[in-house]
Amino acid sequence: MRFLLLGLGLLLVGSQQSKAGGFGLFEMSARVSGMLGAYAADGRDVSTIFFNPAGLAQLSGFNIQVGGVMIAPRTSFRGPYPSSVEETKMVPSEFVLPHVYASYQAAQNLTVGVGVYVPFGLGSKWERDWVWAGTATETRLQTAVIAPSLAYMLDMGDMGKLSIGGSYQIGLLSKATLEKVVTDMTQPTDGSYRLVRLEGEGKDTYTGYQVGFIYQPMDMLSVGFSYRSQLELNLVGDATFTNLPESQFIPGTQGDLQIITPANFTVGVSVRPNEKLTLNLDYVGWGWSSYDSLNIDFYDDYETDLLKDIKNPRHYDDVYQIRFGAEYIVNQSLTVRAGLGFDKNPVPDETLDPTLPDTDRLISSLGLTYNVTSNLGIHLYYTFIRGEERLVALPETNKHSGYYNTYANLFGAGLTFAF
Amino acid sequence: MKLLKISLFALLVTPILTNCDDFTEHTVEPIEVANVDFSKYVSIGNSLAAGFQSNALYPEGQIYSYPNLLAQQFRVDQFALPAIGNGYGDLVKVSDFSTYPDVGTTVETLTPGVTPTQPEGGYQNLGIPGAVLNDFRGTDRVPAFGSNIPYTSRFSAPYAFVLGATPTPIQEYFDNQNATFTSFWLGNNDILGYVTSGGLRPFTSPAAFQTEYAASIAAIMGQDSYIKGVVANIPGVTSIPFTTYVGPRAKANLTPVLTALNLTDIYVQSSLTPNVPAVAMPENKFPYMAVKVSNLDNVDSALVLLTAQSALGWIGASTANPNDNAKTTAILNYWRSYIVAATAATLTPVDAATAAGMDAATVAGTLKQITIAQYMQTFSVDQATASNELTARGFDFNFAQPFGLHPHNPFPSQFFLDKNEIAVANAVTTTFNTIISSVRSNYSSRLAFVDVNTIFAGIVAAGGIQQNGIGLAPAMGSLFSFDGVHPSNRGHGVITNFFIDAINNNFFNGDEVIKHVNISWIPTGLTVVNNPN
Repeated sequence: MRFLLLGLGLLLVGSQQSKAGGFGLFEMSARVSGMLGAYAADGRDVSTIFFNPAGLAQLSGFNIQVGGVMIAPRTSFRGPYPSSVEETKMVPSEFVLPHVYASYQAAQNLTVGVGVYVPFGLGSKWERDWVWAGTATETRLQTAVIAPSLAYMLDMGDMGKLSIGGSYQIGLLSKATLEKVVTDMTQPTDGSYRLVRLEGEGKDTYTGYQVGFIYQPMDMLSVGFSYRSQLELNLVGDATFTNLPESQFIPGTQGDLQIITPANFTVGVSVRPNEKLTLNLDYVGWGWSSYDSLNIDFYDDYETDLLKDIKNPRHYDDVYQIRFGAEYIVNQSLTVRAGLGFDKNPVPDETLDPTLPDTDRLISSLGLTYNVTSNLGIHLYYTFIRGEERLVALPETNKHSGYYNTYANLFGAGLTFAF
Repeated sequence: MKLLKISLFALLVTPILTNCDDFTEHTVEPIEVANVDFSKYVSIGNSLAAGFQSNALYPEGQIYSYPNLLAQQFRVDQFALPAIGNGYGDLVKVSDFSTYPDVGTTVETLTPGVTPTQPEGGYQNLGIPGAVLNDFRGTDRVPAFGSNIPYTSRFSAPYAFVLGATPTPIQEYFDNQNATFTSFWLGNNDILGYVTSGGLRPFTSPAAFQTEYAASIAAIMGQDSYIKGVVANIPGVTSIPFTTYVGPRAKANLTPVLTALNLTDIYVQSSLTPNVPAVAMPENKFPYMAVKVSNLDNVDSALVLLTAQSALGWIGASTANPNDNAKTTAILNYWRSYIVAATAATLTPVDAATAAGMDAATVAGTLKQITIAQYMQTFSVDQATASNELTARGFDFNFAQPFGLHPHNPFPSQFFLDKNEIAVANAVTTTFNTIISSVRSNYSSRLAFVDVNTIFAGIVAAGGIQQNGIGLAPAMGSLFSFDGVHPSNRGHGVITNFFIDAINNNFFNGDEVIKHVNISWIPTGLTVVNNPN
């Protein structure tokens, strides 16, 4: 059995990662994503900077991890419900997201670190002649932060060990792209389209923080908690208009877009029945209710009869994820991992639309680490996300009613140096 | 431990193996009600049903035609319509948004890229631009005056797109489909041609309309006892911007011009008519008529048609004034085309080349002859009598007189409905609608009825209608497309909802078995030139 599991892992270029509900990401470790990022109470890998910075305190010496994940989501829409079941497939797209973590034990019980990772991201693209081209043909959100971190471990003797840590996130990147077809006008006869495209970039540096602790009362058990704050992304966007009258769609139009990403907290437990096996369970609460509306506020000089502010109510719900991960050390060279999770989607039926056709997801992952030397480990993982088929059956209140199906394949790889 | 690994493995592998695109097959769930079967809906109609908009038939207009919207709300499996390629007709497009919502327009001639191929079983949308009532059964159309018009002579390109090259009656296509539900909305064109031509083209004889409407409905209802459907009547002449848009603007523009000249009236060419009380037609032996400029916005006195806009710019032009050269050329060219059209079906047709060579005096002389011939035909008198009686009424043509301001250089009838023509159009519409109501009442349990006439009169009186938070005015670019006759995308949505109300009221005691279309989800679909300003 052990060999079979290993073989399958290799075949699938196993590693680990996942993709959170809404547009949150948690596939941010080549190593830990093999066990679905169930890591709040574990934290023995340098990528704990992302999952729970308190874990850093357990790390000695120097640790560096460099990795990346390719996410390949696939979505189809059948509708509009109830009058049609005509299928449209989202244009296939792949996204590659990197991460880098480093830590250094600065003193006895005190470790400092820094991470660069992508906390949120989103990408969806549809053909320009599809049924809801007037809603969206392309939506992209890109973020990246650098997070200096610090953790301290308090050894309480018989009472166990308590690590506390935190990180400060400084935005490196915030970009958004929104494109749609102006369907209120007939399209040109030459096969081109009348397009509004907005490309926004952050106009200031956004910041956030993360704090957490890991309490380890005995060798085989630890519990952890981590909290990550909201990020307030303020973007200024430049509009590009194609085949539209300049009197109504003024060249040089600009507008503001604000996105407040949700806070989340994670409660985890880690059990190590023997020195080879680790079993982790995390519960993550996402405060998506902060995402109430997506508004684009065009500057007053550019507002016309046909170009007005865009107000998209979102009314997302607070949701949870449950992530279970297991790690087994086969021998000195090889460690294998697996994970299983459930991800509740935050998007209510009323506001579901093709920009983010989210569904509840069942997530599974496989991963491995091959230690080339005692200093260098190679990580690979694979994650499969199966979104539950979702029927939005609100033909009178949500025009985007219909059947949504989503799945995604994720492949991750990375290296860890420790010395 | 081994058990744990096995179960873990099974859990992980299962979702990977189900990595398929879609979980389940779905079909459109039909509306299941005891008394009406919506599963096979076939629409019978004219340009409104076809989705003709802004003077053309084109794909984006077809999608939002009321039968297509109805079919979606009925959740029918298949509702085929002839996808018309690049389109057909002279599409009126918005060329300039700089003064929106008063938009500049331009015209682009569309030619169908590919003639549609009929699907197996034919089209379910049998809406044909130009179709009159008699087209359903393929019988002779009997105009109120003049000779019968056979189906084969009416059968033109738009008919062929829907029905194929052979002039087969619409009914044959309908009968072959075993429809369970139909919408039958014909009759508009039986009077509309008269209205849009300023009274030059005929309307269908009301007696013949009665016979044909009854026979058509009987043919549909008699095909099978389970067939049900909905019929609609004909909107009033003054419900469409085609007749009401220009008048008030012409009044505003002309009043200062005429006041400066110390004038109050314009002179329009009028139709010579016998006295026919059945259609409110009074005898009229005057080939021209004075109309008070102050009455140009009075829908009982005068309707200046949408087509009149260029000709209004010619008011006052005279061949005696060299500065008016461009305008008098345009005036003469208009009458030259008129001469070609008016003589086309006579024993002495004037071809275009001959007409183009006529000078002002010859044009005036020819117009006099044509008028005398019309007088002879209308009142069954000989040429000498006609000539004498017209002369006695001061009749002449003389382009040296100011255009539109003198009876000898009148504003053409084609661009204008005078008070007699308005009375006729109203009377005929009322008569047709009485016939439609009365025939339908024989089948009231099987045919819902949409009183479009009353509905649109109400919208015009109220200045608009509000649905789903969208306010729509009875104007071009709002409820109507830019031809001023046919509804816009959202206008079709509004009409669809009135059809749905009628169906729910007739068959389901007002329960919303068929749901409304949400107007705010229908794109306005303004027809726009490729590179608008």
